[in-house]
Amino acid sequence: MIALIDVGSGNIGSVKRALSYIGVKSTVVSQGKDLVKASSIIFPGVGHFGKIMGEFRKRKLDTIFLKLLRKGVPYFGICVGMQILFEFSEETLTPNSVKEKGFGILKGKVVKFLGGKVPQIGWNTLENVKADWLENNAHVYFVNSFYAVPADPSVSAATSRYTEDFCAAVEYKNIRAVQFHAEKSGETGLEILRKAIKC
Amino acid sequence: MLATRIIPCLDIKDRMVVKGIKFQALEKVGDPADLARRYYESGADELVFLDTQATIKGKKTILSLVKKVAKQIFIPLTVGGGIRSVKDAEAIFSAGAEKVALNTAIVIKPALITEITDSFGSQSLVASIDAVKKGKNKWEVCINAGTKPTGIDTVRWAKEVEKRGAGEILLTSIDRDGTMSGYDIELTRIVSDSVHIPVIASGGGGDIKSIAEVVVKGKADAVLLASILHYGKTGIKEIKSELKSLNIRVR
Repeated sequence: MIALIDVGSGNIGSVKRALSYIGVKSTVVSQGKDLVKASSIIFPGVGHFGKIMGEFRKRKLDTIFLKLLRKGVPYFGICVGMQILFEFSEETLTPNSVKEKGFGILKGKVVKFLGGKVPQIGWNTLENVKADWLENNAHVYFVNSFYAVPADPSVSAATSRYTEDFCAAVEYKNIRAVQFHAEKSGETGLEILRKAIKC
Repeated sequence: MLATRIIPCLDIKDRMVVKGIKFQALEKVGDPADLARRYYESGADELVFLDTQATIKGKKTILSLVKKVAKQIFIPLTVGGGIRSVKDAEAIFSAGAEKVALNTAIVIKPALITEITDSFGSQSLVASIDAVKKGKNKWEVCINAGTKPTGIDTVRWAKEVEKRGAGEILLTSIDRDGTMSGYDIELTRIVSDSVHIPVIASGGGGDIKSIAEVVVKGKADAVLLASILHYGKTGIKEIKSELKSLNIRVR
C-alpha cells in the first residue's frame, strides 16, 4: 500500500492527481494507525514546519513514520516533506510560531533565504545532480522561503541557485526528497515522480 | 537562477475565453480547456483563470473547468474573479487550483487576506491590484473590474497586502490593458521596489520588446499575457526564444 500522508496542509489533491496520471495508486492516510501497513510513503508538505510536525504528533503519525523509515520503507518527500527529515527549522523561531523539532533522520537544519523576494516562486534549474531520478539543468517549480542545509553533503542529490546556492533534493538509503513541487513541474515533474517513487 | 514566468491569463465568460480592451468590449476567443492545453504544451509556466461572471452566476462553471484542467495539466493554476470568503477559496483549492487571486474583496475587507493565508499559507493568495494613472508617479487603486476608483494609493496598498500575508502581487495597469501597447514600466518598477514579494506585471503586453522591458526595467518577476496570445499575434515558444536571446532567463 502506497501511503500518501495528509496532515491537513493542502496539496494532497495535486499529488494524488499527478500519481494517478502516471498510474500510481495511492491511499490517503491521516492517522498513525493507518500508516502501519504502508509499503511506501509519500508526503507533500505545504505550510509551516512547526505546525506540520505538531500535526504528525497529534495524529500519532510521528512514531510509526520514524519507525518505518528507519526500517527501510521507501519514502518520497516534497517541499516541507523534505525539510521535516532534518533536525530543526528557523521557521519555528518566528514569534507565535509552533515550536517543534524535525525528525532528525538527516543531520542538519533548515534556514531562510537571506535576500531577494521571499518566497522564491517559480521555475529554477537543478545543478550538481547525483541521483539517476533527476536531470541536470531540468527546470522544476519551487515555492519556498526556507531550504535544508544537510550536515553531510553526500546526501545532497541536487542543488539550485536563488539568492544563494541551496539544496534542492536529497537521497539517503530508502529516503528521497525534493524541495520543489514535482507535481507542479509539468512533464519534467511527472518524469521525476515516475523514476523516484518506489512502489 | 530563477526564470521569469510567462503566464497566460484566460478571462472566462459563458464558458468561453473572452478578451477586452481597458476592461471593456468583450470578444469571444476560444474554448478554455483547449486554450489551457495549448498554452501548457507551448511552455506556459502557470495559468490564470479569471471568472468574469462569478459574482453574477456563482462559481460552478469555473470550478468544473478547474477540475477538468487539473487532471491533465501539471503546472500551477490560479483562479480569480468574485472570490469573497475563505469558503470560496477553499472550494477553488479543492477543485485543484494552487492559488486564488483576490481584488475587490480584499480592498473592502483587508483582514480577508490573513484569514485565507492563515489557513492555506501565503503562497496560496495572489493580491490582484488594478491601477489607474492619476499623475506623475501616482496611481490609484480601482475595484469592481476597474470601474470604481477607491482613492487608495497603489504603492501604499501593495505594501499593506504584503504586510497582511499575500504571497504575490498581480499588478494590472487599467490604462494599458488590452491595448498591447506595452506595460506601464514605471508603475511596475515602483511597486516591485516597494515590496519583498514577487510582482506579476499585467496590462499591455504587446510584443517581445515590452515583455523584456517590464522584466528588466520594470523589475517584474513574471508577466501576464492575454490579448497577444489569444489573438494569435505570437506564441509562448516564440516569446521565450526571443527573451532568451536578450539574456533573460526563461524555462
